[in-house]
Amino acid sequence: MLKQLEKTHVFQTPSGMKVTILYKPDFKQQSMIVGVPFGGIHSNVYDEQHQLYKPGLAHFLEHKLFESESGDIMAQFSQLGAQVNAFTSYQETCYYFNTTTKFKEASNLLLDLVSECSLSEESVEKEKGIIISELSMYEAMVDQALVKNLYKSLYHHHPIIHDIGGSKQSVTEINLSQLMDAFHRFYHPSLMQCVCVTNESIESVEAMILAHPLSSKLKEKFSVKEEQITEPREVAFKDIDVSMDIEVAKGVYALKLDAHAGNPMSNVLKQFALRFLLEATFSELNPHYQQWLDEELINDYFDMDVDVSQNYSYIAFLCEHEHLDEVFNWIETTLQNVNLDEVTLNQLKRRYLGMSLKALNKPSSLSKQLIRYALNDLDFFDVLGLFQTMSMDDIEIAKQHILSSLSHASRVKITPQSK
Amino acid sequence: MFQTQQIKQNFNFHTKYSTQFKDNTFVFRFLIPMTQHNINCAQVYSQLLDDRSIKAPTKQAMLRWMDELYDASFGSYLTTYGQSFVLSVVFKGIEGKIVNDPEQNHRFISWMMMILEGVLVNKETLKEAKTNVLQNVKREQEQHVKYALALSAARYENTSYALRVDGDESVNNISLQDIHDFSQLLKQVACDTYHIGQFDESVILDALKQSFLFQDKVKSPSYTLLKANPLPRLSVKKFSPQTILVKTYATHVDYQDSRYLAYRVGAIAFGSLPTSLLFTNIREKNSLCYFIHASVIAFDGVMNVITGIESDKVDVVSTMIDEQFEAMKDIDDSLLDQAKQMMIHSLVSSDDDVMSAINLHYSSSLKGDEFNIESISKKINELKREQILEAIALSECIGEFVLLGENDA
Repeated sequence: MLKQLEKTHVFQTPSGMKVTILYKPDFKQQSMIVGVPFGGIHSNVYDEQHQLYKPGLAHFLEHKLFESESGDIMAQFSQLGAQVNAFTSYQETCYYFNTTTKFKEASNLLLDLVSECSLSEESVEKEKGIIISELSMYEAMVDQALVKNLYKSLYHHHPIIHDIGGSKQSVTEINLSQLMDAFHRFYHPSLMQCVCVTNESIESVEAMILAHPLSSKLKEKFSVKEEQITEPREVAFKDIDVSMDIEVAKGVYALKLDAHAGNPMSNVLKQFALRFLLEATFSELNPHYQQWLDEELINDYFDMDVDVSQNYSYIAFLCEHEHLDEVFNWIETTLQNVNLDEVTLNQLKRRYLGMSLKALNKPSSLSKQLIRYALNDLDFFDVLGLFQTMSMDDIEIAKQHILSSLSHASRVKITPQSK
Repeated sequence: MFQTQQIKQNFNFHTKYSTQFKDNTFVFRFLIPMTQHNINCAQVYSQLLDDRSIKAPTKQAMLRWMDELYDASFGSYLTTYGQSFVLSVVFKGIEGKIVNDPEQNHRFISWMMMILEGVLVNKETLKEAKTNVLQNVKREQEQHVKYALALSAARYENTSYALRVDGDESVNNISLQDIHDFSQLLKQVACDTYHIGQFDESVILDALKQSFLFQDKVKSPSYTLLKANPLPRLSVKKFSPQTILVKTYATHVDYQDSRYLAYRVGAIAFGSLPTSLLFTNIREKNSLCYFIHASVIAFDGVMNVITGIESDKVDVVSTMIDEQFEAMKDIDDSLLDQAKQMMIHSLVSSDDDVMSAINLHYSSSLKGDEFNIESISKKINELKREQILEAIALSECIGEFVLLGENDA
């Protein structure tokens, strides 16, 4: 049903770049996003000298790619009336713009941006101050500290324990040669995905992309050699306590789930099933929820997170309480009784259908979702339709997944610093 | 383009028929005189609206209702408009035609009016609402940029700009009677109702005419200019790896001033673009920060420059901001042109974003202007360099606030 509501076209350029064009004739804004499968977790990749990449390398490269020999690339986008930006996540780095005029000129500029990398030692050194300032900004944020310590508590060796931006030390150690190595290894058209949301004809946008040298130029492809990660089933730390200048203590209770190397689609289904199960047990859907609020066990900060990825999986609960252990004990007990009946499953399916339809309203955020799935070899519209096929059997599997992980829990506490 | 109908004195209905979106959006905007008591009451009222009502007295019942309507959603928030603030209540529901459900739109309207008219107010719900507001106030102190801006604004005592829009500790004193009085106030203050989507206009008008809102209303004043004598630098310590510097300027150009558009273009070139003077010279050339930007609070006549830096760089960065302000006199024409293009882009893009479209229309209507993207874009394009520089030169730095990170030296 969802697929029928939108007109899309998918093709591959002779150089190997995969392109998705989404036609949105009613919208004034047009956007292009180009993604490479190189993110914060790729600190387990070896460079040419057989040295592991420094944590924060993908993010550093994202900063530096905006430097161009042909002048100030930011100014060129602004001159076209286009807003350009980029982000680095754990899995990928993406560059994008949106505009209401001169879409093709801006598209060519973005494709130029990801095609070449010309850096000097001096400019690399200059960037370190900016990135370290960015790291300080995140360090001051309690929510970031919760996420960082959540990963640290669950994983022994997995690269997710490093911040996307790296540490002040790793950023200081990053050099020109590693940046160039990463660029040549990962910024290859055959690894890239490109998504356009446009009100121009699909044919003309396809022709424009095919005319760009990135689509035709055959580049040498370097292999990606990764250090094998052997992650124990047990959590790294059962308890982590840190203090910050905050008003009320905050914490995360997390379960390290068994990570199966399933196919991407089955991981998404598993993630939906876990989310549904937790929604039914720990949200307003549960008749006891009001009682938990009244007893001040939880408040409106309480939240849940589920992540089922190729080589790591967890569920986590965020809470705010003066006595965090009381909340953690309650979560632990309640997890033993996670449940969802068929009526609630259908209620959630209806909710998620509405949510998916609403996601189609915003082309700029839609392109980000499309590319994230595309980089994982998933079709966004197939994923949106997936939860409609969920059965009580899938829920039962998710339930067993949780029950078998109850002994792999960690508790992170961030308490107010004494003033 | 919105079509506007006046239903009663200062009670307007603006509608824009559009097939662009998969849902219908309704926004009720109440313009309320700015006092800390009114803000606190509005924050509590907003929480009371949030997840229960007389006809859906539990969160579970409300959620079931919303899910039945394919994830219908609603929320409320406060925005300052100079001497007044706005309580916006936003409802969104999937269009019936999209899900082939002919009853969807009627059920949605009934649900929406049920929420607006049936706020569940009792001792228990009031306690929970007050707790939520107070916790939000506390959490504000954990968000350093937001906290620095609030502390910086609080220095301009006895002005609307100084008031805390998230509420303050006195929320604790709000009683059931205060909430009752506030709900009476909501009937009396100016109300603008917006709709974007495919709904039948007559159905909405009927619902509004039968609602508690259907009466003449009084419009309170909005835009103003912050007038204050310059204050010396104030530093407050915080245990944090980063220091936040806020420099506050009185713009001396109010929202109705003919120089307003020129001022906005100047402010964008000064500090709101990735190629702005502040960003290029303080971040890119000197690596002194990750973020630095100038933001204009149009209805208060204020511009703030905000940046996150190391604690021992406060003096040097502050001086550089002053230097960049001086450098506006010699700014490159191409940068002014970029600022114009970005402002136009932002205006045109508002057509794709329901809330942006409503915000821009509402701001224009407060000064009695008809909102028209083409004519505003034309005016922006026609602005001359001298007009822009003259407008921005009116800015006067009236204070500097530092949230000093204690452990970053």
